[in-house]
Amino acid sequence: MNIDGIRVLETGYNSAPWNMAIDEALLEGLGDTPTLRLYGWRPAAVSIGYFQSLEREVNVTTCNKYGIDVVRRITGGGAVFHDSELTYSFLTKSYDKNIMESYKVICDAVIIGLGRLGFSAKFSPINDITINGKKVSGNAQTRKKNVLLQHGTILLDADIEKMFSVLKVAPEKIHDKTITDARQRITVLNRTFDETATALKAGFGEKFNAEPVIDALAWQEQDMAKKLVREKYATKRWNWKR
Amino acid sequence: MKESTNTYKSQKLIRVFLKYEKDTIQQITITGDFFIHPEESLERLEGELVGTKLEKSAIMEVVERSLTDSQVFGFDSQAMTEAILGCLDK
Repeated sequence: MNIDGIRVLETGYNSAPWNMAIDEALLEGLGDTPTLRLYGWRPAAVSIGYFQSLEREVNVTTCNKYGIDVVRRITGGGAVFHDSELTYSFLTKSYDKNIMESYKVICDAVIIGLGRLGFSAKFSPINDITINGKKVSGNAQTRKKNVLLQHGTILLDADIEKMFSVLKVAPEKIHDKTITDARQRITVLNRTFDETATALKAGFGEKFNAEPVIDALAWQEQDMAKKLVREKYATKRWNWKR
Repeated sequence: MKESTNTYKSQKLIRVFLKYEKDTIQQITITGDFFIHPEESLERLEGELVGTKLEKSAIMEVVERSLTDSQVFGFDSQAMTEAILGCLDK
């Protein structure tokens, strides 16, 4: 990847439909400059992978009880409980056609950022980043209209009990996914959102040798996102698609 | 018509919901935490599996042909075939 600058959007805490709509709106309207978006989720939310069944993966009744949003992503991968975390999206038209290689390149930027916080993190294929062998970040990507979108989570803290109350874990996975084991397999940064955001901006800047330039959502992007919330991400047709 | 579901653990998890009659697939929905690029390939695969005999060679041929231009992470054609045929054991 050879790029001049990175547009940085810090869009704060938003609902799940709005978060996914902004990512897609950015994908639709991306120019030649790559975009790094940093955001959080309020209320907490569960996102499921494009190919997953909402009914089979999520305790929707429990989500409703706690006021937790539920949304389907346009990317594959697994169900994620978004609570105390920083989420990033990176969009670019300049990328390696080899999917695993492009995961590695973008995850490297995250890893450099985590390094700035003092963590020695590693890319763990297919789509994870680990610290001392424990997962701290899950990532997923799609390619549409010559744009690569990769989004990923970075755990700042974790409420494992709540996570397991909203996610239905398959019996085929449960032998290594009990709550006790989850604590052994997951790690968190215990850093603030702002500290982590600053480190991530620096990590992407260093990885791509490009200046991060703070920007705001354009009105066209906001309009597109509103339309996508209304017509896609807040609809049963999309979220219960499978 | 018979209905069955199966969950199969490959590199990623594959869940299959199957309706079949006389050993032929009538309807199939495949879900899971895998990755397929482009994503629309899965809907095409499900469509092409309809009418396929529930036999290993027949299913594997459709899976391989249908996903030939796609990049898949989390399972291979063998795993997908076993995930589908596993519905018959339920």
